[in-house]
Amino acid sequence: MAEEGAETRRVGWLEWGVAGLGAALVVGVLGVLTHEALTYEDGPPAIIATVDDVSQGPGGYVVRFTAKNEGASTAAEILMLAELKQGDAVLESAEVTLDYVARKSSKQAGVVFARDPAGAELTIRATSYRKP
Amino acid sequence: MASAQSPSRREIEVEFLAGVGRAVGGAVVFSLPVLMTMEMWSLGASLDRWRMLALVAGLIPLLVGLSRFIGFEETTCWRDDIRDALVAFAVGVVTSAVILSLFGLIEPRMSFDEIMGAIVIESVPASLGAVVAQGQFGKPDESDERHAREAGYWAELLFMAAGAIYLCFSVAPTEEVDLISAEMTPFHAIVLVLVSLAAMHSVVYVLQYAGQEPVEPEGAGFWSLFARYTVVGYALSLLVCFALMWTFGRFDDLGIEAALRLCVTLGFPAAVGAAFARLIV
Repeated sequence: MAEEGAETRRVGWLEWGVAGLGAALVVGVLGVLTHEALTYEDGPPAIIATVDDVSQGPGGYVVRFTAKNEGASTAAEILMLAELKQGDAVLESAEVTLDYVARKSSKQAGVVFARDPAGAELTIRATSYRKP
Repeated sequence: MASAQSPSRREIEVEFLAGVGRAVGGAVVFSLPVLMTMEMWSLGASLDRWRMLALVAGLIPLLVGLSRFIGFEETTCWRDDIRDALVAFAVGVVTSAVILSLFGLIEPRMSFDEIMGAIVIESVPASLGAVVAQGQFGKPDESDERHAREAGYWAELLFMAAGAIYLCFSVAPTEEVDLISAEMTPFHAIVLVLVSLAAMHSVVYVLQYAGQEPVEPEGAGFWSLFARYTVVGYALSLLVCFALMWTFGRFDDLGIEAALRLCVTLGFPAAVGAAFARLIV
């Protein structure tokens, strides 16, 4: 077939450049995926929450936090439970569900308390998740 | 392009850039339904890496094949086809990355593999769109005409597979497919198979859409066409569904019967996509 189209369209440098970019992307993606596939270890997700800030709004005290998944697998529908405690007594609690947090990634969320978290011990932890 | 004087270097580059522009347009049109589906973003993060590898490894030959017959640029040899497939892939990846960032769906707080996963998934429909856009919306010329005539039986099968993949791809990751197939009784499934076959055949041969396929070889009977194109095309669509569902990990917790029902459910859009692909290309 090639012989028939005697005068072929001339190809510019730009086109070869973009084709080179494409080739680099293909090789890069395949390389990274292979590396990930080979080094992948199965393990549970590990969600760790850190408080970003607390601000007083008209609806109460808004606690913004970042939930980071330090574990080896992605978790979906993660139920985060935030509690204000004084000793053993739970003064107030709030829940929020995160759609999903990929492994080694994080999501931001918030809970609202009626009382000031400054006067109590604030804990935020994941209580359940589902495999995506 | 075989005209009196050969084009200057500037003209060559400008023409190529216009082609890239068309390809970006096609990539956007093809990938938007997938880009705006939530399951797709999370899939990029959670998908088994071997399967994602299989997805990319399967995509490249498909792009080369499509470029052979419809092409990002009119092509005459395999080296050109491979180059065009790579250009289409580059356009697909970059377009997906730009749109995902525009939507705020990829951001620094995400891990590298989550970002890459999302982009790789979106690049499948995007690069399909890039290949098709140039072939369909580019300036027609003689060599395109010639190629269209050369597209034989195997090319038709390739178009069908591409059409099936495209239409399936935006539906396969959603939970609705599971729900629908769980609701269906065996009776529904059988009827759906028959309806899919009938739909495929009528779209291509009966309903007189523009671009309707000629009866080939001339004067071939209904059963000949039906067996050689429609049945084979439907089987191909089911295979595409099977491959995509396996890639997306949707069979992992299913028994054989439920998996087959899932394939038949998804096989309907796949079949329709396959049929229309033959008209469009």
